[in-house]
Amino acid sequence: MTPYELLGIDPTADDKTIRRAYLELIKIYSPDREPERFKEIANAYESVKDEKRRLAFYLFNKDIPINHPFEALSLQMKKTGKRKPPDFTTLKELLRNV
Amino acid sequence: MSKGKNKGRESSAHQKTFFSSEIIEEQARDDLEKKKFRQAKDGFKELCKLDKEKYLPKLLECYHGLANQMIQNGQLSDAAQIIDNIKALTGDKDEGALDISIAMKKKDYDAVARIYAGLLSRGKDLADIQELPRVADALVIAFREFPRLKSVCPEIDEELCAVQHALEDISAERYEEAWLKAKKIAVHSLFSHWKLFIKGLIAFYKKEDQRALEALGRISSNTLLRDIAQPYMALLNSKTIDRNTIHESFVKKMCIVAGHPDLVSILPRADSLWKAGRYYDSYRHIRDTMKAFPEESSDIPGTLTRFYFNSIHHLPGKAAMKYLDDLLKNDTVASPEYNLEKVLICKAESLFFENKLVDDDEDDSDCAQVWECFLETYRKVFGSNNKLESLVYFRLGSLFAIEKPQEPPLFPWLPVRKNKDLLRSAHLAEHYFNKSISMNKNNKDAYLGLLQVYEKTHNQSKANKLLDRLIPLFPDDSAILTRAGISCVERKSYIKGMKYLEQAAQRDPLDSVIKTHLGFSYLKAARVYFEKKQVEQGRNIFEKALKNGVSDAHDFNRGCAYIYARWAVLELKNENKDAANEKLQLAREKAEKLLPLLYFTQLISRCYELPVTSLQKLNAEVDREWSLPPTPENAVALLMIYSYINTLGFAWLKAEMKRIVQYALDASDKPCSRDDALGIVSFALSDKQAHKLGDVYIKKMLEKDRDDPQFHYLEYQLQMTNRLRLPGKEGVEELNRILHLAEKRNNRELVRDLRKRIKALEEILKVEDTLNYGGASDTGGTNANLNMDMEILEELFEEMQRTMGGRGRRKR
Repeated sequence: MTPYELLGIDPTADDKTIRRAYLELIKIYSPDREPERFKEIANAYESVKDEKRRLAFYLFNKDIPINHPFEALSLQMKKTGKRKPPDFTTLKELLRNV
Repeated sequence: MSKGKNKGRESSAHQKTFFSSEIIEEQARDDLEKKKFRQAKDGFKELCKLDKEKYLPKLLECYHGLANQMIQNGQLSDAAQIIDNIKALTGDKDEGALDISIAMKKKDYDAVARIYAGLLSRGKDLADIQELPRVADALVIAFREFPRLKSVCPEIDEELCAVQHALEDISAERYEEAWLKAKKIAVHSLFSHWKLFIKGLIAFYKKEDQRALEALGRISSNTLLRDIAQPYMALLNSKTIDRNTIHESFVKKMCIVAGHPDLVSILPRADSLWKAGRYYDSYRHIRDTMKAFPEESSDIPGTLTRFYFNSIHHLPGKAAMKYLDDLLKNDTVASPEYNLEKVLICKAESLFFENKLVDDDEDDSDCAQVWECFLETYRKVFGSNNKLESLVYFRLGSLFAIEKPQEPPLFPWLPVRKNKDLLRSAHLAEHYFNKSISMNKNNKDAYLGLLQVYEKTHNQSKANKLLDRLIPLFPDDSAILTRAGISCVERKSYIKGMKYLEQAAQRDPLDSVIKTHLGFSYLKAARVYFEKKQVEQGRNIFEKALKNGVSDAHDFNRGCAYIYARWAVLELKNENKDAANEKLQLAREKAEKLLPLLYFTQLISRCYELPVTSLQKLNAEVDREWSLPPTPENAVALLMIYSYINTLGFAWLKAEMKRIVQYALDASDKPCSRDDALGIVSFALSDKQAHKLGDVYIKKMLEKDRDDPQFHYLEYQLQMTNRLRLPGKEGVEELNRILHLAEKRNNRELVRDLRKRIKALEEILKVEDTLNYGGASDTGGTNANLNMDMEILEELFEEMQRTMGGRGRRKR
């Protein structure tokens, strides 16, 4: 996930919005309770906390969010948290196409 | 069945008629036992002619076996023929277990369900049915009613309905109801794995990922459900699924399960092309079929955009190059229009070239050119952005300001001169840092980069001018203040430097680098005050130095014991004997070991030019401590003190060297830690006078641990510095042996160093081999050979120049 996705903000957000989102998140994921998650959030904040860093992230970041195209589906599912079962006809079709 | 085969079989049956029925029966039973059903069938067929009642069951067994074998091998029409024969022999026209197997093989699950329900309704024996769980799955996924089943097998019908209704509830997001229905399914039921599936599905949609993975992962592999559960598991964690099993139809199912049916015609194909290594085709497919691609958003097109443009930097060399080439041949790049895709391609190209510049020694101008091209494209699409341009130019400046890697010398016996041409390209670095500053006057990093270029190229006047410009621009910046402080200290303006460093330390109190420089500036400033006879100011500075001090026994600038020792010496020099004794006493209290402290004080006294008469007591004390049994721990401390003072370059220190080496040799029979031995041997390597010392400690450590790669390598290095010719193939072999040991111990740093050295040595041996070959061909020498020899000689000369610190750059 990108730092923006981790912090749950838009890439066009300003410094204040980013800081607010960061502070909200570290209240939930404190270093004592969830140190790994806290580290991720802190790193994400560090990489986009001001305009210069955001530009540098835009220009020079080479990370790949996924390793194969199909993984875009699971990443999107994780990001949005949306999971809706298909209607019964589609589910039946899915099960029959084994 | 082929004609030839029939012929063969007829003749074999014919032959059997010549034997007695006992022999035929024995042979047929043996064939049946060995699962040679075709031969057994022929035998029992003959025997049936003699006694049908007796041999018919065996003949049927053969037919069953043969039919099953054919179904397994996919010979479905042949199997159907055999089944017809069985039906003709038994007179039972109803479909049975073998028909189920054929339908299962044909993936005709409707037929499987129909035949199975029929068998259940007729109360037939179901023991013959293979893959029973899969057959039960077919019953569920048929999604139809079997009216007779309800009356004949009500419990099966009830469970079947429970599974189907639970699935319907899941579709309607009625998870509690779904589970209430699934709970009714018994543990040993035909549908028990459906209970797991329903549990997994409910957990999946309720976002209880771990529980979902656990339930779906427990579904047995001999069911159809296992395949159905896989896309759900892949969505939760793609690592749970073998990548080879993920093909187009699998990804299609994932799209549906994830709620993206619109991607069914896009993603599966793109994934399969990517998997096949057709990276650009995969990109093209997405680009042509997905309207929103490329896009800088956080949804699926945005994720795929980052994936396709950043993958270039993660693919292996040739594949990445080809992918980038194909992208650059793209019609978007060729068209005069400017759009996001063009910006992204240019950015990917720039970053790719940047890597090549660092790794493969690419041309400097190429890299700068592609970044300029990116900026031009960006400007045309999004308008100008000075801050962004400043960052790009800063990046270029930093790339050209990278220090060239220093490879280990090939000729260790030649003195290595310091390389003046230290940076990749000092003039380009200066140019781009200046360009970055012109785009954004507040780009502090660009100023600091430029300052570093001036410092590394020893352009002190430009560095000082830049610092003077910087301090008013960034009066509160600790990095700038630190640089200004260091620069002043280097210019011997210790007091001014100390003030800058104090300001920097105030702004960044946790920065140890600032504290180290500050400590050094305190020592220098205090000495200046004492030498000017401004004792009180000097004392104040020492007080500050102590506040900035540490208790580390090996920090000669900030270690409190050593600060007190210096203070004592300067007090003594100003003839304040009481103050000097008091400070020396304090130094003793802070010191971990007495001998290193006294020795340090003795050497510092000589550096500060104290009269010999005032050193008599101290010298006597040092001699007394020196006469005590020596220890390797003290030896390391003494060598470190010697190395520290030696940077000042006093000629009289040479005599001290002999004294310390002797001390360390005398301590060699005492127990010694690995770290202490490493310290001693590393020192020994740096000075020819101490080689014997190195030898002794290496032997000592290898006796303790004969496979220690670090000491084997030090031994090799020591041998190399003692000889006057290049190591041959035996050198490569020895290094490879040490490399093997280092790999076993997972000593990464050593492995890296050894690999570099082996590579360099192999290169020079290749040149040597070629030269030998050239010499042999001199008898029939041609101009071509002569030219080749000249080239090799030039290369060798260039290599020697480089080793000596010459300016010649080796082109790869």
